[in-house]
Formats: sequence, C-alpha cells, structure tokens
Amino acid sequence: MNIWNRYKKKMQRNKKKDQDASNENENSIDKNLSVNINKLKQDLGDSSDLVIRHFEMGGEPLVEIAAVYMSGLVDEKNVNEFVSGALNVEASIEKRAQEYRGVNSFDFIKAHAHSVEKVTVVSEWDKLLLAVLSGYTVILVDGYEEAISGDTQGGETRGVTEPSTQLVIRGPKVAFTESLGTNISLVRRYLKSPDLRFETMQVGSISKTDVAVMYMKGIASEKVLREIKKRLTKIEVEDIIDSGYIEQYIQDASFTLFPTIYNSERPDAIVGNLMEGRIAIIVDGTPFVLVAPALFIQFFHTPSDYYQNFVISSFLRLLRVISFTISLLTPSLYIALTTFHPQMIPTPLLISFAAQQEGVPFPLFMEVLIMEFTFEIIREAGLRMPRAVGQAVSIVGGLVLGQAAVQAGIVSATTIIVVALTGIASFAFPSYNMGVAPRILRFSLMIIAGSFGLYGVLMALFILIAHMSSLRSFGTPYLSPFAPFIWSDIKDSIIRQPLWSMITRPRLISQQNVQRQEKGQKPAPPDAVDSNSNKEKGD
Amino acid sequence: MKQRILFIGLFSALILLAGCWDQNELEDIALVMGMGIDKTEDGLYDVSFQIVNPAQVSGGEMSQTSKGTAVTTYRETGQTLFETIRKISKEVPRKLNFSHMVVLIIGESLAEDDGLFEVMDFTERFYGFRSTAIVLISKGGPAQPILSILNPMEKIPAMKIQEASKKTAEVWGETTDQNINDVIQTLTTKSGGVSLSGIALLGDMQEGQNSSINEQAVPSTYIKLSGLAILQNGKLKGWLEDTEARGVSWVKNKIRKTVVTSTCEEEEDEGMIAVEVRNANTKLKPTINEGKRKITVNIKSEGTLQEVTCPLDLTDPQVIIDLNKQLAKVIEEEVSTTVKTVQEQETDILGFGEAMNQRYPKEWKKMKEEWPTTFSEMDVEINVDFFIRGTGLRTKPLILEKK
Repeated sequence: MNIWNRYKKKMQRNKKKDQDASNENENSIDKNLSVNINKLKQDLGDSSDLVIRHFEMGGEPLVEIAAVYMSGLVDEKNVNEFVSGALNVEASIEKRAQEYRGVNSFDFIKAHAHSVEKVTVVSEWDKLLLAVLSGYTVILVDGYEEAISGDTQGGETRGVTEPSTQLVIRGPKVAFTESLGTNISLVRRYLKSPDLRFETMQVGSISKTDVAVMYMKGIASEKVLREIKKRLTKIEVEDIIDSGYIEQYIQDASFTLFPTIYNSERPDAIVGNLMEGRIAIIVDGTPFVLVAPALFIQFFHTPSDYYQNFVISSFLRLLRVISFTISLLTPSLYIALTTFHPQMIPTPLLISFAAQQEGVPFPLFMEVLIMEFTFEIIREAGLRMPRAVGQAVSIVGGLVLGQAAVQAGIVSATTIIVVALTGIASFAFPSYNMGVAPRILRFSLMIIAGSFGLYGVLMALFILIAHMSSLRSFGTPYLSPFAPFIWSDIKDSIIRQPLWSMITRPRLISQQNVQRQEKGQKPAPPDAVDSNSNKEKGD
Repeated sequence: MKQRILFIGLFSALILLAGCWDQNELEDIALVMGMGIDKTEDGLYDVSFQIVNPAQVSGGEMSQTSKGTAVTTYRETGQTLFETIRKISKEVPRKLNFSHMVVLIIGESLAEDDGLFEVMDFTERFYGFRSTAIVLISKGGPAQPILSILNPMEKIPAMKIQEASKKTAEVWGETTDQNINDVIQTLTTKSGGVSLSGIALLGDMQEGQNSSINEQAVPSTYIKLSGLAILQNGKLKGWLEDTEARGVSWVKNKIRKTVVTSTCEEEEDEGMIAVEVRNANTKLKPTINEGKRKITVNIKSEGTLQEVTCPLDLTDPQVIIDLNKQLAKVIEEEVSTTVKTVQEQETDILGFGEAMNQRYPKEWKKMKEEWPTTFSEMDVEINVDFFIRGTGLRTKPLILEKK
C-alpha cells in the first residue's frame, strides 16, 4: 500500500512539473511571426493540409501578417471573406492608409474582422492550435503576442437525410447528422422557445469532442442536469468517437444487458423527450443523440405512437412488449415444456411434436441451441455483408439451412418454427440496444431450461426482474411506472391514452412544471359545444 | 458479504429442494392414451395400454410416408398394477407416460367380483396419472379388446371414447362423463352408489384390430358407449339401458341438452313430435313426515320443437299448452321408470342420500347405516314442468299441406 501511494505521489509530482514546464515554454505566442509559423509547422508535423498565407500590410514599416488554417476543415469561401474583410482589401489604398494611420495593425484587423462568426482574440498557444484544428482561421500579426481567430468551419459533411434505423410510417422524415451545429438547429426548429438551453463542453483530451447538454429550462430536473454535467466532466479519455463512448462512461450500471440511456437519431423523438423533462446529450460527430433518464418501457415506444390513433398505438406497444417476451422466452419454454413437462402441452400438439422429434438425432436442447446459434450467425453475417451478397445470405440461411435441415431429418420443423418466431419477434421492438438483452439472455435461459425445466426458467425470470428493478437511470427507477407503480404514468407506458387526456408529465422524470396542457380538450362535435356554451350563457 | 452468502444459500436451497421433475426426451417416452384393467382367472391383473404412434397420427409430411396403426395396445399381467407398468418395459422400448391418458376402462368381471376400491387407490396414489381421465366399465366383456379396436374418424380410439362421452353428455344426456376424481369422491360418500357409463364392442375383434378397418365405409367392428353401470360399494350390480340411463341424468340435474319424443295426442295418424330440451333444472326436496321419508323431484325444463309429423296447428296457444303437458308426462314416465329400477337394485346413484344429509343432517346419521333398504322403500314424487319456447323455423307443419 505504502509503496503504491508513494509511487502515485511521485507520478503526480512529475506530471505537475511537466505541465509547468510546458506552460512556461510553449503556451504563449511569440512576438516574432516567423518563430510562430515555424513552431506551428513543427507542432503539426509539417502537415500538408496546413495552409499558411502571407500578407503584408500598412505603409512604413510593412507589417507581416499570416492567415493559418487547415485546408480540409474550412469553408474556403468563408476564409477568403474573413481574411479580406479583416485586412479591408476592398477599400482603396488611400483610404486604408488613412484609416491605418494612428492605429496599430492588430487593433485595425480586429476592428475589421467581423465577416464571420465567433471572432476572438487568442493569446495562448494551445488554444491557437485547437482553433486551427477545429477549422478556424487564425490571423497572426508580426510583433504581437496575440492572434485573431474566426469560425470558418466547413468542409465535407453529410446532408440531412431520412433516418436509417428508426423508420416511421407517419411523422417527420428527418434524422440527425454528424454535425453538432446542424443537430442543434434541427431541435431548435421544433421548439421556438427561449427555455431550450444547451451547454457545450469538450470531452476527450486529444479529440476535444464537442458535447452539448440540451434541456428545457423550467421543465427538466435541475438535479438530474447537475448529475449529468458532473458525470460528463468526470470523463477523462483521449477520444470520443461516438455517443456510445459517452453512454458507457456515464451510465448508472455497467454490468447489465439493459440500456439505461435512450438514444435516437430522430429529432422529433428528442423533442418529445425534452418536453417530458428529460435531458439530451448531443455529441459532435454522431447522429445518435442520448437521452436520460431512460425507463424500460421507453424502449418500446416510437415517435409515431403519438402521431396516430391511440388505439392502434396502444395495441402496437402491447405487441412490442409481447414480442420482447416471445423473443426472450420461446426457446426456453419450448425446451422446458417438451422435455420436462409434456403434461402441460395439449395432447394433439404433443403428439405432433413427438412425431417430428422421431428420428431426429440430437436431444431437443442441443437441437434448439444449434439452431439459435445458427440464426445468430446468419443475422450477424447479413449485417456485415456487402449489399450485393445479402441475397445469397438469405437464400443460404433461409432455404438451405432451414428447409434442408428439416428434410434431412437433422432438426425438427417445430424447432425451426420456434427459432424463426424468436428471430422475427426480436426485430419487432423499435430499439436495437434493447434487443441485446433478450438475445443474450435467451441462451442462458435455454441452458437453465435444459437443466432445470420450467422451474429453472421461473427462477431465472425472478432474478431477472429483481435485477431490473434494482436498476436506476440517473436516479429514476428503471421499471417505473410499474415498479414503483404510478397510476398517473400508466397513460403513456404500455398503452397510450388520447393526447388530450395526458395532462401531466411523467412524475419521476421531473417534478418541475408538472402540468403540460389544459384539461377538457376532448374534441366534440360543434353542436355539443354550442349547446354547452349556450347553456353557460343562459345560466 | 453476509447477505450475499445468505442469498446464495437460500437460492441453492430453492433449486435443490424443488419437487419432482425429470427430463425425458420426447422420443424416449410412450404416450399412454387409454388403460384397461381386467383380471385373469389366476387372480392376476391383466392390464392393457393403448400407446400412440405419433408419426401415424400427426398431420404433415410424415404421416403419409409410412403405413401403420395409429395406436398399439400392449398387455402385461402382474399381481399389482404398478408392477405391470414397470414390467411392460420388456415389450415397450420407451418409458410409459400417463399424463395424457384420457380413459380408464375397467373390465366388467373385475368390477363385478372385486370392485373398484383397489383399482382406484392406485389411480390416485400413482404420481403419473392425471385425475381427469374418464372412467368407464366395459360392457359384455373384458376391457382389453375395447382398447385394441381401431377407429377411422378420430385416429386415437381413446380420444374417440372421450369425445363421444363428452358429446353424448352434451347433446343426449345419457352418459355421465365421470373422471377418476369424481369416482373416488362418490365412492367415499356413505350412500355409496356410483354410476358409470358403459362401453361395448360390436363386431369381430380380430377385424377391428387390423388397420384395414379404416378402409371400410361401414365399419364392421366398432366400439360404442352403451348403458349405465350401477355400482354399490364399488361393485357392479346391474345396468341401466338407454332412456333409463338418461333418467339418472334428469334426476341428478346433469341434462344440458337432450331430445324428448312423443306421439301425438289422440290423433288417428301416427305422427311424432321431437323437442330439443335446452334448459333443464332439477331440484330434490326431501321431507320426513311422521317418520315417513319422501323425496320430491321437481324438474323444470324448456325446449324448442324441432320435428313435427302430426297435423297440429302450432299457432294455437292451446295446442302448445297441451303439448307442454304431454311432454312433461313423457319425461315423468322416463324418470319414474329409472327411479323404480334403481330402487329395485337398492343402490342410491341418484344422490337422494346426499340431499337427505343436507336437509336433515341429524336424522341422516341414524338412517345412513341402513340407507340402501330405506332408499328402496322410499316414496318418490316426480313433478315435471315443460315449456315449449319455440317452434323452430317453420310454424305450420308440412304434413297439413298433404291433405
């Protein structure tokens, strides 16, 4: 223990020393422009996409100026505008000379540099480097220890397209892109409210990824917001490539198959969640936006549930929950019932099972396990295959493995039906990362069913539910509104009530500004409304 | 840490202390659908098992490929019933599974000589049985041949017997559809009378065992539910036939639907009417008046006319009222013959004792010892009300058009 502590202390001291040294030597901009340029070249490894444009300005003496940017990250048009604006090239030489007189060159440039957004004065070297690497253009003036940077970000990005993972029949057909700015604007367009706030921070010591925390002020819970920000600032990694990184660093429990943070690439889904008091985390470079706190039942909702008739929405939600259960339990129940409890299967069905099982060389458990495993292989292969080969996979997977295996008498047709049903059911609920849970648990349940029968399956389910109710997502019980049971939140859980009857926001998400709409908005035919208002008048 | 150890301990107890379960692959079990119990002349049990050949029964590609019988009946003898179940492994290559057994047939001679008590003890004690199997008595012979007869429509003969028994109880009312549980319960009541449906084999047994029987449009050999066995103290005492058997259902309030026919009243033409009884309710009312025991059977029933071959004007309310009385009389006669026959047998299968017990518990304690004789000497009054609720889809009988 002592040795370890001493070692740690020593390391810390060394680290501090290094930092101090670097601060003294490197973290300032030199007065000499060519020194700065050389340093920049050296720091960036003389990278070929680093562009340095030299200018001269003023009368006597001429001032040397350099504009620095990375060619792939900027919009060339913006750079030109920024630089020419800053140097005021369009004005006549006389006028420029006139204006220039009496003012120093740095202040002159600063005063004219307003053709792009976010023009700032940079005085530290690492900030300058970061600006250049983020697609800013930095103007360095000889003889000054400061530089001027302007946002000229651009370069190739993907346009706004239809969502590829969460398709809906009816509803907006927009998805987030990889650009943080675009994503924020997509949300802003839905909520024209000054209460829509976002706070940006940089995560990743090398990647310096922009991460925006978005919320509705006055609706979102301050406590959860603080907690999210705390967890985000705690992250100390080198790079953040996708929001999946953030999710893994800030989620409540790591050793669980159930996702405790929701993600979506649909702006309308994020807006809906923001209005319920949840908090969104947008990460630059990925179209998948995180939402917390997330509940179990939330992963069975789709945005289009709110756009169509509430009866069909409720039915579909029920269907998704049932298909979750099917995909989790069917193979294990099949094994348990046929090999342990044949008395629980209706006689004609059992006879049919028995007839198919006749001559199959494997024990039923092995048979199901092999087929389930095969299905997972086909699924994974289909996902990674180039699109052109995809058809071959489905033919080989579907026809050859399925039909031929039955005809050859290696597996029984019932097993194929069970595996197919399980497979189809696992695609029926909208969230891919919720699909992970039944996919893995299915196998363990099968093993339990094969060794302990229905009793074992029930035991496993018991443990599973205990585990799920122990989960929290930023303090919110994962199984709410069922455990703890909250009657008022059942309206938007496994069912969806009509929109006009959903008066309050989910109770455990945020206690602020609970009522979201006025009561009594149930639509009625005009006659009824008229007679009502007449009555009121009469009274 | 302590909690975790406690949890693991308790949890392993949950797994290790669980009740009976066992894993068996489907191809390792033989599904017994029906079981027949007879006794040989040496006093050994002669047990036959009807076992399904799944591949022959199930639909799909498999059944068409091979020809064979849907069931096979195996037979084994032994001093005890359980012994035969295990001994049969010499013949049957699989483990017998009784969880889907639907009928238990008890040979007539076994029921007559030994009674049901010994057999029923085993059916309840043995863990493999399901108490929902219906119990029948083979009529006019042992149980074994009945289980060995093949059947065209319902491929598994035992299922045929079960379905026939259910359907008859539903639309005709002659059978009682009693399962192992019911039989044990009625056996243990003091009045002691049990009625069980009978099943008989008609035709040649050898022919019925061959699968070619299924290729005949008119089967030469078949099994049929027939009659009602009367058992006193578990022993077979006699049989009730046809409408006599239905009379029992009338008294026991077991009629769900049945058909009552009657000739036309005071008409020269020989016509008949048939009504379907749709609703019947029977109440037993025991009375003790100055030591004289009496049971009043009140039957209220209603139904619809389904067939009329008499020249009757059905639009006339008076005709319907007359018909009501006439049909009530038919039912009354049916019930009273049954009651008389049963009283002659000195066996209370009608539940009179139970009714007496409920109404006069104190007196019952005194009379239960000599109940069979009391029962046979008792006064029974039968009141029947019948109402025709509809005349079918036609009002005027077609026979009136003939003239």
